[in-house]
Amino acid sequence: MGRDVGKTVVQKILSRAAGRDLTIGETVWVEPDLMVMHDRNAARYLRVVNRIGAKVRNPEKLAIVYDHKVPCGDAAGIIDHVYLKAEMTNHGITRVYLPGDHGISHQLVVDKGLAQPGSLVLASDTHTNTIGGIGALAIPISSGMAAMLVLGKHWLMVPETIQIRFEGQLAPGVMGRDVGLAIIDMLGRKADYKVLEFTGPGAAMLDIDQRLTICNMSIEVGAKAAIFDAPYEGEVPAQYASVSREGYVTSDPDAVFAQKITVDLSDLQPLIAGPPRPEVALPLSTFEGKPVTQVYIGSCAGGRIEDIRAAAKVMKGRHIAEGMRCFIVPSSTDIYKAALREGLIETVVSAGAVVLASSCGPCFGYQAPLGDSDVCIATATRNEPGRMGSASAEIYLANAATCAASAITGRITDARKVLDNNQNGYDSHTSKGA
Amino acid sequence: MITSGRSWIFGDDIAFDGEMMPVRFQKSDTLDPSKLVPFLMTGIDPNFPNKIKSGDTIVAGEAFGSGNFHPHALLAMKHAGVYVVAESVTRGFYRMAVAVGLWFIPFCPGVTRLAKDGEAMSVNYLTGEVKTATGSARYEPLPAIPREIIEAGSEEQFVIKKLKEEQPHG
Repeated sequence: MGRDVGKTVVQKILSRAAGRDLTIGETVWVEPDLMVMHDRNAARYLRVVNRIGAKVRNPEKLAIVYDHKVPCGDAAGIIDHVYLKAEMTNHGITRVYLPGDHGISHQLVVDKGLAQPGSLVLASDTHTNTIGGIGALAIPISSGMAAMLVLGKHWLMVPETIQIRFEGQLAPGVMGRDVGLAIIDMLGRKADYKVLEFTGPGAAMLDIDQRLTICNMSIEVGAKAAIFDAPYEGEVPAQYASVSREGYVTSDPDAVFAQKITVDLSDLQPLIAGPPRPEVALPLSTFEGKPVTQVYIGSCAGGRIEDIRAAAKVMKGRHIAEGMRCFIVPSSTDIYKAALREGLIETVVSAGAVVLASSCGPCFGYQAPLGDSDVCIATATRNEPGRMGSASAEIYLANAATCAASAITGRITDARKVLDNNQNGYDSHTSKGA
Repeated sequence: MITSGRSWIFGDDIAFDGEMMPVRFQKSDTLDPSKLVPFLMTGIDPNFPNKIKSGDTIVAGEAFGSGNFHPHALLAMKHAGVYVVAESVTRGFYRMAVAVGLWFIPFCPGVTRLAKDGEAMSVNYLTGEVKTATGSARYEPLPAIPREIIEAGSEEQFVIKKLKEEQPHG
């Protein structure tokens, strides 16, 4: 019966992973092509495996990436890191990315070519959805990780799909972050259990960095995953040499979707999400002029090379506002090196920003935590009270250019006004007190 | 699995953090359920832990288990013998409940209107049948895989069972 009806991208990828044709709504066992854990939870799951007295079944399919605690700054974390190092050897896990060759796991498995278009990735971290930017079906499974390590398979429900067709192209100054914010604002919480599939001529012109951020943000409306159905058609930078353009999976024309939406990218403007939740996106002008005390450009939703380039473009020849704390965190060591080669690190450090080692640190308040009266604007993933430190601090989420411009002026600022300084008076000499 | 007790009705969008369990537990490693039961659902009803008995049912509205998900409240429910029927549960709740081995029926449209707070309710989690003093309804029970995991006691117990089954006989 299922053969008469076309299949979605998700049905096709899961059918291959299950070894038979699947129908939407079925609950089935699937074998992932890649499993990913990071240093903050890998020890927890390996302890369960050891308590059971079992071994990791397919260690060659598992990557362990150091990203949450680099450098590690707490006693429990150090115990975990020592345990992890021993247990990786014990279980024959060799795809290990230790500090120095590390990065935020979702970024690193893309940059290193571990996750491939059309593959199934099951991983422990909430923001695993990010990896869908290169056409992999990447689903976060959290508590089920230990069972999957032992059994080599995991259970899930074959989800419905919301297909989002992009048309047009982004205007200058509008970034992947803004597309992500617009989509989660549009969907509200209607995406629980569902996968977002991105298609259309506009999708083909979104580059890899933009795609990763868009897919990342889908988790904030509960989407099980998000996936692009075709590769980026533009020129791919050298650092993406390992990212395959082959193997993308597309839905059949007669596949059944829960919903179909068309978004014209050229209609989008820079957006901002204020506390307490990321899914209410407002025009940037809503909060323009609000004083901020800390700026953070990084996380799995905003530390790609395009984000650091956007920050450097705004910061070049300017200096951050007096008393401002500005942290820039390239998402992986490879991105850090690319930023060094392009001279971006020198630009932002000269502007007064502090560049931290690649990690998730500030996003969950592990590094540079916010105090009670802090107001932070960030490219972080979430902004609920307490996410980055004190529960009374305010967190605003916006694109990297907006964050960099706000660091310069000390207030929430539209980067286009800083860059267009002749008309708006926001150049480096007048920024203080502007 | 059939339970018989009283029903306790909750609204929509009940969050793991702060509503099902005080936020402070989420950042600690306390997973001893007997220590967690006295705080269960106290973000909504401070007297809830004193009212419940084994066999009772939490009857929840839409999207039960919103926000970041954590096992604490679900371990407490399981320990207290109080299971869940809901108009709908979030994916986070669904997966976490299966992982800890908590019985539930995930999608029961109309169940909050069927039940009355504090009154008798029996639930058959294998057939999906829910009965009150004044009415009954049948919902879609859990599919075979999650049911088998919960029957084993938890995801961890299920894995142990599967490994034993894989051992060569003799």
